[in-house]
Amino acid sequence: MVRRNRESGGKAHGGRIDSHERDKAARSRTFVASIMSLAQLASKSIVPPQHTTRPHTMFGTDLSISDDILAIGSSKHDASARAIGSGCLHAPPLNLNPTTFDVPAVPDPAHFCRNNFASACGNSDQNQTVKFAKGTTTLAFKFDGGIIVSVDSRSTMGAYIASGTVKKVIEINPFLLGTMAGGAADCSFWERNLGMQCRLYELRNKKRITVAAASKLLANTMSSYRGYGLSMGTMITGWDETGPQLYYVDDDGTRLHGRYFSVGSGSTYAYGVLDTYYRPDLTVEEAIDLGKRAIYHACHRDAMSGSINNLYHVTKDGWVKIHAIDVNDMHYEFLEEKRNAMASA
Amino acid sequence: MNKNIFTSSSLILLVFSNLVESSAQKFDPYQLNGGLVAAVAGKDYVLIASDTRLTDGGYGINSRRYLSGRIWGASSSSWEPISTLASTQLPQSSSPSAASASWNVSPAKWESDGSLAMPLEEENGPKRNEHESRSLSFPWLHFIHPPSEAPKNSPVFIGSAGCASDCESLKRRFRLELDSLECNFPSGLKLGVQSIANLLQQVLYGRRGFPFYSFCVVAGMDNRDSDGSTGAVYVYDAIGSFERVAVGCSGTGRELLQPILDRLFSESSRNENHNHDECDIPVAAHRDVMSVPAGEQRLGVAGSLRPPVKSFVDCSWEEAVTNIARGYQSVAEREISVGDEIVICLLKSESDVNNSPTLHVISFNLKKD
Repeated sequence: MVRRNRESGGKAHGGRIDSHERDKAARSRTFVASIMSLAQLASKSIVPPQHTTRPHTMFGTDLSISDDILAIGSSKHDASARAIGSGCLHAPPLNLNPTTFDVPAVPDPAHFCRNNFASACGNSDQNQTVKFAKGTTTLAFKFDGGIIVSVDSRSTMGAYIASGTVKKVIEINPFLLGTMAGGAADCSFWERNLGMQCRLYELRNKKRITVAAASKLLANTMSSYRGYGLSMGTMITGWDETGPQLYYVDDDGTRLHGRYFSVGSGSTYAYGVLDTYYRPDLTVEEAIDLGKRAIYHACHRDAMSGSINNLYHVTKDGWVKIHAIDVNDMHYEFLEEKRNAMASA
Repeated sequence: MNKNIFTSSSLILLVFSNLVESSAQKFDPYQLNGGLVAAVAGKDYVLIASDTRLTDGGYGINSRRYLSGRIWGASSSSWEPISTLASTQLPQSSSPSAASASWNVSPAKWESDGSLAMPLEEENGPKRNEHESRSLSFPWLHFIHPPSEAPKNSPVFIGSAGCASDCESLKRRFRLELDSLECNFPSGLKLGVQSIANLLQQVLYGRRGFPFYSFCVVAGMDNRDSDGSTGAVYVYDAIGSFERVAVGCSGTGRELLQPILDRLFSESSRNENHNHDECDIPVAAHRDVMSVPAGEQRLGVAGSLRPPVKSFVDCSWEEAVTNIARGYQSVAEREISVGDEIVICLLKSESDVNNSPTLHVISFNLKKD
């Protein structure tokens, strides 16, 4: 309504309306609104009632997220979704809606979640009853030949290596990649959710989503859950109409644009290698080698990183998986290289 | 007088609010009831196993024959409880270690809530496993026929261990979600094992703020492959991070069982891999055997994005059952919350009977102390 008034008034520039216009706009808005409600009332008897139930979605991936997220811990959420235990108070909601979460019956659920169910970095969760899979080194950098994304594949629960074969690069769509550091479930769930949002954008707008927009979607999701103890440090990379793009998004809602990032417990080691050898004019082979080495050095020094190095190359035709090498094999490869170099010198 | 009332009521209020606060501080909803579930994916079979000891969260044992929250079927509709049972002799094991076992067949029941009924105690069966760990007996074997009009989809099993009440409510919640999904498809939607795995992720993550304290394993036959169905096993953490593996376990004592199983199963498939002969230590999962060359791994190309490890083991099901039993026996020696019995559900795809798999339920005795 407001927009139409602005257009018809012709006096509003740059979104600002003077007071007279504003009064007029307000008046006409209420007027139009009352007409609308009248029309609705009139039409109600004729038109069959609208289908009010939620449209069925396959795995409950609901389309709108903002309302439900903000409702966590509020009285609205209490009334609708807080069913503790067996669900005898309320029937558990069917057709899963992952954007509303059951929370414990404590005065401050956010505080409780943060203190008991965080999947924090380092050893800060060692007293937690429930430990989640986590721990990582991931890196990505932009260069003239595209983007290299290189990750390890170890996930740890405390001191236990939960898996050595995690896929930490999440293929959101053929032109978008996300990496996964922090809580494994948080990353995989929300990046899957991001994939759905990106696909919906594509269907609505008939063009691919830009990396900037995709990362913003994820950052918005994260900032709406701030303080709930989620743990996610991710890099969203891809190639859109503006060329190769690289964003860093984390659980605070931070969103940074940059040339190279490294995330995870081993990131400091990886940064050491990247800072030393990174140049924008690397050839593709050099870039792949750099990605490989940075992960190798991180895995060598960081106990929470290891196993397999997965490396992806993003070009204008989408991403390509380059290799999956065991870091242990890499160690002996580099060792021999070093010996040869020392012998020749 | 008025003042008195005021002060006393405020005192009561104060005490009450203190009570509320202290109880909130102590809010500790979880109990670790033990339980160790494991699953193995083979080329044409999949098996899932659980022990049946239910501890009280400390040193007490509440039940020695608890199964309903440990192994359950994901979907309810397809596999009806059977009434007739064939006294089929299973083929004798090829490996000498598991041979010379007498196969007793007795009725097994599929409960209406999806859980597998605990096999009945056999009177004439050995009450205690007196054999050496290398010569395992197979005391009870139950054989479940596929339904007469064989469904195309085989059952998918979910094993869950951790807090028993959470496992139970997870079971109900999950099956409710699945039923409501299937109800929307009158023609009969049958989710494959991968969809079940995804759904379980959604259910578990739906409780991100207050997790189900249950650690899950999903096992079923994956029918998507062109070369027939293979076994598929997925392992989860408490909030739904999951991964497809060949051999996986979760629950109390997984730190003990997983390395044993890694070792046993890499030993049994070692004969075909001579690459690792120079270093005697077998690599846990022979990496990259099944993976597609890196350059060909593109999204959208059907089936090309395989996991970076081999997603099933090479050994026969007899060997797999033996390995699992040996692994459990070892863990039961060192972990107080594992013991009593293990129940193994074995789902085998039979190429001759309409491509529908058969289900066998095998149970072993473990240490009873």
